[in-house]
Amino acid sequence: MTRLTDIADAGARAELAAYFAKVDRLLAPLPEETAAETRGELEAHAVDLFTEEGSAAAALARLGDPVDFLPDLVAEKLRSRAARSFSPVHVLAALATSARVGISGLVLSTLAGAGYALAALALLMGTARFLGQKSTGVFRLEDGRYFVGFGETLGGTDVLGLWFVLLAYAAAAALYLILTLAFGRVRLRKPSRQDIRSMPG
Amino acid sequence: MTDDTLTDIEKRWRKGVLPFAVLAVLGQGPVHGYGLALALRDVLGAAIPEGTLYPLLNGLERDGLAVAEWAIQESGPARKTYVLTDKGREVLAEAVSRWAGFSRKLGKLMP
Repeated sequence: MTRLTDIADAGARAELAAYFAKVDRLLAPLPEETAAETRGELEAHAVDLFTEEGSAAAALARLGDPVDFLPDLVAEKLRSRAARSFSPVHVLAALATSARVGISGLVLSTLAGAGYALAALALLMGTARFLGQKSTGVFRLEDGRYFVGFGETLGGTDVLGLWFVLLAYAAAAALYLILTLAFGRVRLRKPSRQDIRSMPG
Repeated sequence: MTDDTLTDIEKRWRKGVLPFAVLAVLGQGPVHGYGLALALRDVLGAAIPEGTLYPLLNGLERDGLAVAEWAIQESGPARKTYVLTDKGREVLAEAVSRWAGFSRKLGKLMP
């Protein structure tokens, strides 16, 4: 017996179905196949616990509230997917989901988001220069200091010329790749209350 | 020392040993989530909300220490089971060695 539908007791089945409706909501950001796989694992576990305990409430108490463990799992799976595909859509999904996993997730997403914003800025600057905006680039001022201009300039000598386009694109690509790989490898630690519920009997 | 203090101390060491205990159970052979939880109950009692094992298993998969396989059941659909990789076995062997040293040193501190 590995599925809720295998349970004969209608009351217990309804209680477990309500729990798994919550599980489904939490798994919704994942690709369909991954979500179904994770749900299937949890469902088989819940049914085993029900068989052992003889009560849906006791089985679900042993499994724990999915809010305590699924957001972390979902965010980690999305970060890993982003690190494999490098798709900006996957990166955005991972950023949004990770930001909702406690303070550490919010800090991680904010820092990573700032990094991606920097990569986007480099891309934008490279494109602006490529399209002929000559006030964008690196300039050496008369007093010897350097100035990075974007849309406006303090004057001075254009140091890089069109090389700026290449360097800006390279910087944007390198930053995006490094950030995405690092973001995919981060593991967030949950608060201890969610790891250990109570002392054993 | 109050009961609360003792409870807190014990909670912390049980939490700390959990990843090692998971690796050790996987080292005994392929196991699914419920089987893992059952094996850990002998060591950790009822301390773990069993769902919290899944992020741990996912982390082992992600780090290349374990792989998930689908095991055919006598009845019902296949179940996802976890198996240690060669890298996982190496990490477990090293962890066992370090644990022995740690345990020996800790034992010397005991009254």
